[in-house]
Amino acid sequence: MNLNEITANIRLRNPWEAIDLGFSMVQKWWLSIYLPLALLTFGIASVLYLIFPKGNVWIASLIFWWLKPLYDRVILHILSHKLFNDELSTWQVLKALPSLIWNTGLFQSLTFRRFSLSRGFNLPIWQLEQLRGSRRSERQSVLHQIAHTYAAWLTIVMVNIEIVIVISLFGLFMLFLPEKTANDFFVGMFSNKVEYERWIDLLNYLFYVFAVTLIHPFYIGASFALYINRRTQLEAWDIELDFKKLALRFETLARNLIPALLCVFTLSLLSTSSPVAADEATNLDTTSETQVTEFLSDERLPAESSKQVIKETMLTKELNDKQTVTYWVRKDTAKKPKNDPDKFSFADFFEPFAKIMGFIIEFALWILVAIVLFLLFYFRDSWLHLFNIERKAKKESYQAPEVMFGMDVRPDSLPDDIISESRKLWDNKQHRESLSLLYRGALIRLINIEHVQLKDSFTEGDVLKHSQKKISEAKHLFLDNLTNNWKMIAYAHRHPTNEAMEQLFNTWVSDFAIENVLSDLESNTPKKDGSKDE
Amino acid sequence: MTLDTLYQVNTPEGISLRLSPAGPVVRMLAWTIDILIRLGINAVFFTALAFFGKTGLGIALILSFLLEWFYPVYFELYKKGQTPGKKMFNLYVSMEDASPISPGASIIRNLLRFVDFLPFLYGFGFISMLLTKRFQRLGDLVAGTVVLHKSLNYPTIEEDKTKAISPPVALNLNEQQALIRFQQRIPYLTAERAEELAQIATPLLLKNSNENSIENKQASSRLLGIANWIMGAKH
Repeated sequence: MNLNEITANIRLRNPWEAIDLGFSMVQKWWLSIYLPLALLTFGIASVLYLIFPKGNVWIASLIFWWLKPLYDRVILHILSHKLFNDELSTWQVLKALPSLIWNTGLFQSLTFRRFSLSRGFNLPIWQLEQLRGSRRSERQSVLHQIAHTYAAWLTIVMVNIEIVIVISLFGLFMLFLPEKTANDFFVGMFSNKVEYERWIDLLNYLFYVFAVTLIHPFYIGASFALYINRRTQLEAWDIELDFKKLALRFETLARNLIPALLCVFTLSLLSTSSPVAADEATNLDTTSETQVTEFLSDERLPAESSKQVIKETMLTKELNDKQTVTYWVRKDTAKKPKNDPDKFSFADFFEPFAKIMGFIIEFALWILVAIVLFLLFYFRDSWLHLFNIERKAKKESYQAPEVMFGMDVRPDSLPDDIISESRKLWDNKQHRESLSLLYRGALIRLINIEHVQLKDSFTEGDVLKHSQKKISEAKHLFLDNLTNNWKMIAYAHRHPTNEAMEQLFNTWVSDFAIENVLSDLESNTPKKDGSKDE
Repeated sequence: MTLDTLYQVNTPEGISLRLSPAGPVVRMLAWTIDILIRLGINAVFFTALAFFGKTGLGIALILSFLLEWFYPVYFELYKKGQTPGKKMFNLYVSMEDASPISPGASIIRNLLRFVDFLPFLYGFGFISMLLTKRFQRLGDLVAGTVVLHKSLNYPTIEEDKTKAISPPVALNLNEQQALIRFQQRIPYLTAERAEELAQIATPLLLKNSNENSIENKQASSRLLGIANWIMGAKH
């Protein structure tokens, strides 16, 4: 193990970040990992399928799952070589298989350590450190001190992700099937009633093998990164790397520099970051290690070229955009320059004429305004109604309707005594006619005596609304009651009770069919009855 | 360039921010915490509103709908990008350039959970996270957001009593930081390992002196002295 060759950035991470580093490893080296791994897993899977075909595919799946520690070893073998910058060909990986099987404690991993929650994390101790017996368990307990929780959670999460991927693959497959076929599959899978086809078994098996092949490198990568992080923590690998670089720098300095230059260095002790020393450092530091700890942008430019960049930036459209905005400004008349008196000016010559003309035109305009105002007043009748002002003239032009909702509402169509006529009809069981007569009488009274301007386009409701302001409260109460009864019989064919009718007749006499003077007096003491017949 | 999960965002001032995206494992655990909290709240809704019959059930369903879709949005916008689960694991959501998440982006990334959820329990989300360098699910990719680790706080150390020694030569930034880290981490190292590390750096200590090597147990304390000097102790 040569730390100088390490290809990952070694720094102390929080354990979750370390797990993420493992994921990044697999993302970066995916080809070197997946090619040999897929050969191995799909090879084993095919052999198992050939041994346990028809109806026994679940045994093949189970054995394939049980063999996971074997794949772990292959993945770790690849990853550990990659981490220390050692490229392995697929053939080399497959050739290493026998030693991986015999020298890495595979037998224990496949038996009583198969269900260890931290098996991924422990694997490097077996495989890379090659420790056994009490030394191994001591080592493991030291490494576990902080990392075990994370290693266990990692295993739990990755098992879940694997299951999710398998079901997702199957779900995706189902999504593309016709609904009927998909239903049949479900029924087939969860009951024994329908014999479902064998290739579904094979498909599920393939999905599982695929998911393991896809997810397992991430698990081992993350476990390995967690292990590396724990060792970095214990052994300060990051500091070791930096100290090695530091030592290298001073050894080269000691060899290369003439003693005279040492004076410069002793002088530079006064400040911690002497530019001379810094320059020397960057010259010697050929590797790009500065970016590991320098928290400054990688893309810093030297002063001259940054000046150029700044100039270019200052010339861009965004910083130099000019706009022409046009708007009206009041001319400053006071500052008008005086004309030269000696010089003949056309404008000066005509100025008196212009003034006279101006006076005449102004006068004419005023006269015009007066005429317009007078005409407007004179013909006010023809335009004032446009403003919808209610005027007496309009009232006079009102024409009382002769027919409302098919009823004759001319005064002379009524019998002399409405109440007795209506009462007679009511006693004759001609309820409709009776109420109709009463309501018609009310309408005619409204039009002719109360001077409510009803129109033939009004409905019963409109009549009520329009008469509200024109007649006293007691009268309106009666009208309301009457209208309700009338509507009930006219539209719902439901006639009021005899008592209600009797009350209507009475209120007609007492409240409604009376002169205005009286009703105005009475309106101060409104009647209680007449409103609760409905 | 060595492998790391970090990526850099350069500010106009020329400072590069180093951001550390969080991968699926820790995000799944954070999600589990959040879903447990939501389940708890939903249980309260449904039991409390069960007394109001069908109307209560309807209201509970609406509330649980709002909870499912806007619980993360609320926490992302008003609690510095941290739902309770994310807070527990020191994660936060932000825009890719480390600016605070915008309301639009938050709504988009949460509505698209629907897509990530397909075909079963975030199957697409996992695949997307495994394939992208910043471990973004599809919603993150569309909204331009990323889930980041909050930077690690180094444990504070007790003041070191070692006498400050001025370094024999000027050290560059990298070396100064290495020495400071050595000082910070020495409580967690065995004495042997600390000395072994310090011996690696002897060319620094031997500079401008006539010694040829440094006695055992001496190198680490002298390095600590220099680290103290860098940290500002000048006596």
